[in-house]
Amino acid sequence: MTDYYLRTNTEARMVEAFAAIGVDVQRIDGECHELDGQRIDIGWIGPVTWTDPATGQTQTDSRFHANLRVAGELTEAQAAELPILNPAPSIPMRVWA
Amino acid sequence: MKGNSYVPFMLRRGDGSTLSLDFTAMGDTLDSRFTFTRSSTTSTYINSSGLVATAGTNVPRFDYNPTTLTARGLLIEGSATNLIYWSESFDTTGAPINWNWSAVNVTRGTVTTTAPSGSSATVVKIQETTATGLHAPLIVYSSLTSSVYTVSLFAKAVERQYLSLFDNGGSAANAMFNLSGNGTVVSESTAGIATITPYPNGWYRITMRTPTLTNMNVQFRLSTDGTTTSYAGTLNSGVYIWGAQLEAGSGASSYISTGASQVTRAADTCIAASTGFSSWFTGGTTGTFYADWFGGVRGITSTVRSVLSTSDVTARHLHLQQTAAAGNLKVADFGAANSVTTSNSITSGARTKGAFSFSGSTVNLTLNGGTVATSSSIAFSTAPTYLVLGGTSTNGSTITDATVLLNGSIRAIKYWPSVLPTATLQSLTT
Repeated sequence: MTDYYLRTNTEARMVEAFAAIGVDVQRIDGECHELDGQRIDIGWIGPVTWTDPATGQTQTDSRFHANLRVAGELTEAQAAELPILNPAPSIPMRVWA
Repeated sequence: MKGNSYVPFMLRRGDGSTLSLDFTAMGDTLDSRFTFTRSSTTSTYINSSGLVATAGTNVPRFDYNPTTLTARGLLIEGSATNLIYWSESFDTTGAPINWNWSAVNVTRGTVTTTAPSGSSATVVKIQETTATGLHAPLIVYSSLTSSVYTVSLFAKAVERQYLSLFDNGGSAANAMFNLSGNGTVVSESTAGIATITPYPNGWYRITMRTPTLTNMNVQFRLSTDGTTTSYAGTLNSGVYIWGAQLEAGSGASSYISTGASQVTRAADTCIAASTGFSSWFTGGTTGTFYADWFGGVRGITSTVRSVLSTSDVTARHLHLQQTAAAGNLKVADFGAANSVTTSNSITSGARTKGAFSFSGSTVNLTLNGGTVATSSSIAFSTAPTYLVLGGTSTNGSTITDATVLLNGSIRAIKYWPSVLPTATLQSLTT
């Protein structure tokens, strides 16, 4: 399995990104799809919040975030269509079990 | 994962059924005609010893009652996310990002003891200081999606046997629990929002459902008497805690362990397709299904819950489901354009039996031996090609509606390639 962390400026743009690889998302956290014969799971997150270790204040990144788990891995063409965070966050707000 | 053994189950030998599965008697191996997937490397369930056990990727979970140790069957859950960080360590420092736990007049001790998993582990003890006031660890969440949430926690009495779950944020929802004997919900801010379940080794899992909210301040408040939560503490008196969970939705799902990140468990998918379906589904557009499951385990909610369904495409779809809100049993066709619903309803969390026969557009349906409901307008005219347990699928390989998974355990299913009489449907489900 391969995990990808995705981020776009808006939820609509995230929907479009998945549509570009042929996935019609439900926009529900934990939805499943079949992509090229392999299962994918999508964590539909939205903005992320965290505590700034320096100030102790809650911070919010209002951009839209999603987690993608692929049973195998994406093709290069598919990966190019998705807004994959590279490098992946060192401590993501959310991960797959 | 493809199962590799077949366990036959016959209510009556020679009853004409061509599929008869008892999921409470399969051990850990699913019938080979079904394919099971779940994209999580670690998911938990209750094993035959009543302990919190883990299952790997694509491994079906056969769940047990942690108190009686009776088999509950094949667990089918939708995806869920544990929003609480440090669910076992309750760390107060050390998270470079994300939240830590805070404390009010308690310290975070640790002991080596038997955890709900049955393993010897380092377990946190919340223990009082001598200060007067509340004694509670807490964690604060803001900007939650507007939703109902459920908080759950494993707790074990030590010097204190009363513990309160309290939302001091958006709702003030709260419940007080007695961690002794069979476990008791001493009080709750709204009737029916709290549960307590005894586990082995003196542990209890306590749960509380909130109203719809967007901010939470989750507190686990110690109490000396089941009423008072503000008092002068006795140094180091407290309880053991483990496995805190905060998740969207009504009722607690299987436990999800977290650390510095929130963790999402992927959805269960169990489908019989290809020869795993055609080898027994021999009646075309005529037949009978029977199911035995635990209904409304996470409450009768505003969401439909699937028990089983055939191909979710035009003319091939029969969907046996618990209805939203009322908790009746329904069979619907593609897009739920037409349906038939029982007049009686499911008891939340109870063992439930339902059966329906179908012959083209005519469906007869009964729940727990109740009055048979009939419709002659179900749009079912073409033989399906796969069966999904506890969900629906438009492609025959993955569940495709994440909102309707059963969130419960299926004990047994049967199929006959013929229409059984309505009296038989009632007797099967009584």
